[in-house]
Amino acid sequence: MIRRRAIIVVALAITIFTATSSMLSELQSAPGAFAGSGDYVIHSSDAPTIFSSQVDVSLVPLLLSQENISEAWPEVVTFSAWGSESFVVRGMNVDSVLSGEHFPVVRPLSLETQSHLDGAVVGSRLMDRLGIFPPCTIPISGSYASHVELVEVIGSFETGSYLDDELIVSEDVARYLCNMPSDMASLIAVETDDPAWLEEVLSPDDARFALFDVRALKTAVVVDEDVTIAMDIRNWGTAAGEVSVYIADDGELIDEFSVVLQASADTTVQRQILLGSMGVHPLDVWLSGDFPARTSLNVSVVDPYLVIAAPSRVLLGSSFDVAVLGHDGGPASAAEIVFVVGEEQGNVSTDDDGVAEITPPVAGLCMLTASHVGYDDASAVVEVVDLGTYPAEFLPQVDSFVLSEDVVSESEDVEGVIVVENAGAVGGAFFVPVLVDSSANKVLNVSLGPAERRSVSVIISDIAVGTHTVQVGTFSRELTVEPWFADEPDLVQLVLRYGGTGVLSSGASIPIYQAAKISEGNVAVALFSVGAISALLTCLAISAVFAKEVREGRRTLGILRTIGASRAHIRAIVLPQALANGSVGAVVGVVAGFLVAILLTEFGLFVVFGHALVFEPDLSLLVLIAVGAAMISVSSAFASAEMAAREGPIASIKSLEPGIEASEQMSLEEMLSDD
Amino acid sequence: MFKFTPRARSTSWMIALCTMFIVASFSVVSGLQTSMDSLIGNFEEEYFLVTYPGDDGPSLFDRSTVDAVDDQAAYGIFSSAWAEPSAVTVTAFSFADESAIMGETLAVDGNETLAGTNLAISGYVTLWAESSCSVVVAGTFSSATFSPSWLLCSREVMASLTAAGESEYNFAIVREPTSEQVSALQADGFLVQPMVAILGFLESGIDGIQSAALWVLLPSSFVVAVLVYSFLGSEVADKRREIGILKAIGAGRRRLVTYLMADAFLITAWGAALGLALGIILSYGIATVASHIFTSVFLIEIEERLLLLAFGITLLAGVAGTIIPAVRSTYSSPVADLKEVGRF
Repeated sequence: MIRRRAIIVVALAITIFTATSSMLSELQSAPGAFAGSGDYVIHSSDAPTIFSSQVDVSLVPLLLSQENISEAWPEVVTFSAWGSESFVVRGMNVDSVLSGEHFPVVRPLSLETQSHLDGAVVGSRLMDRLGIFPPCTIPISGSYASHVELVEVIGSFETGSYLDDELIVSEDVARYLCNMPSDMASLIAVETDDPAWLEEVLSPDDARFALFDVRALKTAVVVDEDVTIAMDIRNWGTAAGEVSVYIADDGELIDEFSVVLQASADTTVQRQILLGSMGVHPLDVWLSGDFPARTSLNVSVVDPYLVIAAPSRVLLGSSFDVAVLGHDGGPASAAEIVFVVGEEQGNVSTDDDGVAEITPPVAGLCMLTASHVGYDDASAVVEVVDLGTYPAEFLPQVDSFVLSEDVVSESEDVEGVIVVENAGAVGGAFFVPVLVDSSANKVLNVSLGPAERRSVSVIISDIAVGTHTVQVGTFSRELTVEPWFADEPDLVQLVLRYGGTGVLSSGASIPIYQAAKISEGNVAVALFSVGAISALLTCLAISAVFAKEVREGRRTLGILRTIGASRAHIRAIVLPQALANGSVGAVVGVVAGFLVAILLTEFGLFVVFGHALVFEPDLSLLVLIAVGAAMISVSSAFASAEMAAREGPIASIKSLEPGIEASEQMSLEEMLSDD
Repeated sequence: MFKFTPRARSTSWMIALCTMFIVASFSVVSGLQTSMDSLIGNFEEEYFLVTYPGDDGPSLFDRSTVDAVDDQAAYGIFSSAWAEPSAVTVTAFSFADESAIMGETLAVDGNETLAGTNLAISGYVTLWAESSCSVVVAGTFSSATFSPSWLLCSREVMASLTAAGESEYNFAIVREPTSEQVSALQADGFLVQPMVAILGFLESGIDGIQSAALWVLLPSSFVVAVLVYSFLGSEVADKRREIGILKAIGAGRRRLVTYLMADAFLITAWGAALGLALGIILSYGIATVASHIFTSVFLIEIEERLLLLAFGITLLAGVAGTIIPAVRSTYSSPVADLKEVGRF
């Protein structure tokens, strides 16, 4: 019924299907080209292209400090041109390439000359494409701006991977070509002994919480006084969730509460804690869950104490107010203040507001001591100056400058305290510039009275990561702004910093077409359409040829039906033939299709954004395509068998057009009389 | 003889599917091209680097050989050089922009040199290339064009290091050369490369996709041919009696083949036309749906020339599929045809 020659068409159709599917699978896996040789890569999640991705290279040592991460290194991915050829340029440690550290080298790297500052090695396919033979020097162009770099190609390599289409240069050269800052890289390649762990840690599908900035609003409290513990909690996972937070005092759990947060949300929580005994209390705060975080701090419990507030400088002959407060901030009424200036001494008591007025009798340093029953004493110093000893002019000056912190985290503010004084007897106002790296960050307008000395504060914000010099007057302070994760160099902080702005991908998941800012959707739809329609067309071709065979044998079928063969019988006759022919054709076609795919890639016919497609069939791909081909053949065979079974016996014998009822055309007698 | 039978209709519809596939594929690729063109429009290709390739790097050339672009060119010499006592290889270069095309002045005199801001080299340095030369690093330079790792030298120093003649250079930067000038330079053996690589990179990328897209023609054409082959094979089997009559009344082989090919042509043309319409509708359908699904606008571009190509390829495939059954039908004798012998 179905002749052997149908195998040819089936085989050809399946060959085309297999070759097309193979090439599509390679297109799908081609994104791995930009990932280079790492198992995983970290790149900017908000970058539209891998070329515009920028991640902080200081992440590398943090990654390497993790137990399960065996390797991590930065790579700068860009592109360049030499002559009329464009190609991908990868900036990485050339020495590691020379040693074969990061990827297996199929053909030993041919090193033709000694190492060079800007030495480069070229992949074998690119070398053939460019027609160069190391050692040689080639001038290459900048990626986005008119730049030129002269690179000395010192050797070539072959890995059998996409890297063979690339020029590997030093990170600095690649950065220069694409204008990337020196502390950034396009991606960080990561190799781990425990991929599941890494994926779970850096790409959680559920809620994932981190605890940071745990602090006590007062680090010293008295017995029976609450201490407020504040903390920030962030959910950097991709789903809302709830987390339990625990606070322990010297190992004993003293507080437990829950926090519910939406995905990517954070909150500040404050808890009132009562610490019983005197002394230093080591507090531990931690989160529950799969990824616990723990932070410690100390709070001291002390005896009740006084706090004294007084101006730092007053004029001789004038009086000034001294405020005495308890440890809880409330006024300490009836507290006794003893003041001593030179040989003179006196004492006053505070009123109900905790305030007392003092008039120093002579110039000099006035020592104040406040005491109250049940409280520890407090003391302060006030400078009493004689205006007659000052010049009759306005002489402002900066007396000191300190920063509240020398090291802050990125995006955090730092407070500067400036002590200014007027060394003259005439008041006035003056400008105090606050310079950060020699550029004015703030300018303060400070008014000072005669011989006045006072403190002013300034908030310095939006300082870039790095070390800076903050200068006020003749005072300079070094300020270090660290990246977020540097607060606590563990993975929690690492994720805090990068979880929201970076993304971890398997090496094969960077969208290659995004490299050219092409819509990801275009490619996804195109690939799916091509694959699906290729299968459909193959079905059509095979079904058509089977149908033709059935048509040509319909007279036989008609006679079989006439002598009593049922549709099931017809199916039983046609189906095995169709299956046999289809199977043989499918086997031949699959083998031929793979060979065609291999040949096409061998000849480098498909080059997409600087990388030739490489056909590396794995077993699952082979099985998938073979199963696809078999299904197409089998479904076509079933279709043809069904077609044969539906043939009417009379119409078949008369070879009538399908869809025309025989009874409408001729009688049985006419049919039987016809030869 | 031609009837638009149910079989012809179904064959036409199947051919239409193939043509629709071709049109949709071309539309998607044209959309990619449009995306790329708009992206390319963001960049400017102003300066081109001209070098004369040698065995191990750019060779010296006489300035007179690029005379056609002389008034829009700046010239220089660059070379790798071993620097002592730093014991590093540096790229030393000189640059003369007499026509002021670059908008920056980079010049030093005598044995003075300027180090790029990334080049940690200072004091007295001996450079070794083809010959040696002692220089002093007098300061630093920064340039919008040249690497901060380079060492700016005078022409005299570079001529000494590379043995360049009085009017010899090994690179030129040409501003906005015409395509004719580029072709002329290339014809003379020069390498002419844009100093901004992105345009070439994007164009080569889209060229790769376009050439890959042409491969969809292969399966589509094959299936069209098989469909027409199957259709005509069945037609010939069904119409052997009519064919026999035609032969009996004197129709020659050519006429018979013409009849059959005309049949096939008609259903192929009908299918192709239907496929074009379906392809256009499908393309816009894909664009609309995909734009909703994906974050970016899904660009579809339907070009008339590609529609014509799809139509033509479908017709050609149809005609190709006709040949075997049409020719084979002419070889049977009219008597055998009239007996309408079936195959048992």
